[in-house]
Amino acid sequence: MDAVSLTQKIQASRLLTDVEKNYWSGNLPHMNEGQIAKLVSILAEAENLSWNEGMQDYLAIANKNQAAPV
Amino acid sequence: MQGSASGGPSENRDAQKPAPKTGEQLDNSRTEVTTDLLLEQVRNQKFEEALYTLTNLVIGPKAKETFNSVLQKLGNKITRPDAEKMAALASQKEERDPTVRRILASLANLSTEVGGAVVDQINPFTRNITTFVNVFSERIKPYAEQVAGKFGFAGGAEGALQFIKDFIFSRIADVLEKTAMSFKNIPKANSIFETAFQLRRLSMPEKTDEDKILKKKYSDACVAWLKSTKTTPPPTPDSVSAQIAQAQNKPAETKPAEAVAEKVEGSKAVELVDGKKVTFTNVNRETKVEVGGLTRKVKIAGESVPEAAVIKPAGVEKGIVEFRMPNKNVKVDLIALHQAVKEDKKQLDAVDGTTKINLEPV
Repeated sequence: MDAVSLTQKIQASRLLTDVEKNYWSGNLPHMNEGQIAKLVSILAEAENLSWNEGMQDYLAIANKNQAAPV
Repeated sequence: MQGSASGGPSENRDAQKPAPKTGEQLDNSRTEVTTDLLLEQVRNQKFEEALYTLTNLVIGPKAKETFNSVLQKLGNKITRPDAEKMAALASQKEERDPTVRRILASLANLSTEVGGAVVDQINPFTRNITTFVNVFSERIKPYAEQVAGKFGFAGGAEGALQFIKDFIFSRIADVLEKTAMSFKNIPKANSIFETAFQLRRLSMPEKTDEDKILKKKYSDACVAWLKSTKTTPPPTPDSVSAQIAQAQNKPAETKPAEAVAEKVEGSKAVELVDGKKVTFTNVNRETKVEVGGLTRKVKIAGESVPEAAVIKPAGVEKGIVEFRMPNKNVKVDLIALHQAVKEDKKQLDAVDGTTKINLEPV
């Protein structure tokens, strides 16, 4: 993956704070291939997180207990 | 009653049965029910439930229309502190996600491998709020301008999004600071204050040199305040900015009076914290130091110290001794010197970090 695409992936990550985004983007030029591959796989895992799964489960339970369901 | 006996209960129910609703009516009902439910949940302080109702609304069918209608209906009925409590609660839920924790651990390991740790470490609670705000901002991206408009901001979508993020960070920080003030447990309160300060830093711009200076000064003020006895309100970017402006306009002569150096003539005892005491003597252009009955001759680069002066205002914990050599003056921390003599060390570093002070037994 080229540096531009990887930088975009870093910036788009919902898991990273702004400080961390800057940190990883800034470190890219100094990282070796193995480290970059590792970062790509970590970012991919974060990207595939089912962020709303817990929320949906909660809503289902909340709706059961509500007199007026949404 | 007489009139009510004209039909049975089941007959009445059939007569009052509403006609099937059209799509538009269903949408209106959904808006009304959602608004009522949200208000009820917030009124009953059920912020977690309210948050999920809101989230469901944003990801549900006809999100934009319903979202706008609910916003209109809500008006100012939900206060900002209540909205912030919802955000804080949502962030706490995410902290327990094992996948998130595993990914963060992998990132931390890789960070060490790459050559260090993330420069500006932030605590887990700050991260959770940040993650929540990032996810929330992404969800409301299509409506960012409208939401920002609600708070009095007009601009492009990206600018509006940034505005919302900054706004949420800043408001959560307000709530956290107020919460921390009610804690009697100092470490716990400090931890919450730290989170609040980190969130404020996240919302501070870094575009110009002035921005960077302000951010740095604000960070320094936060660190100093956390270590203080907290008799003043916590610093804010505005208060620090005002201090910088005041300092720039302040005439030079208003600087606090500098501590006076007192030359050691004969013998001079200096009281430190916790009853510690250091005694200096200067006889025949030779300086000696005594701690707890141990006396040491002070030498720098093999030379005796012809003159010494103590700089320690009364009642101040910190202080230094200045060893005056023919070619230069060397400053040494009094507490470090006390410790070195007490532990029978032969050498210690001066305040400049390069000059070595030798302590020779008499």
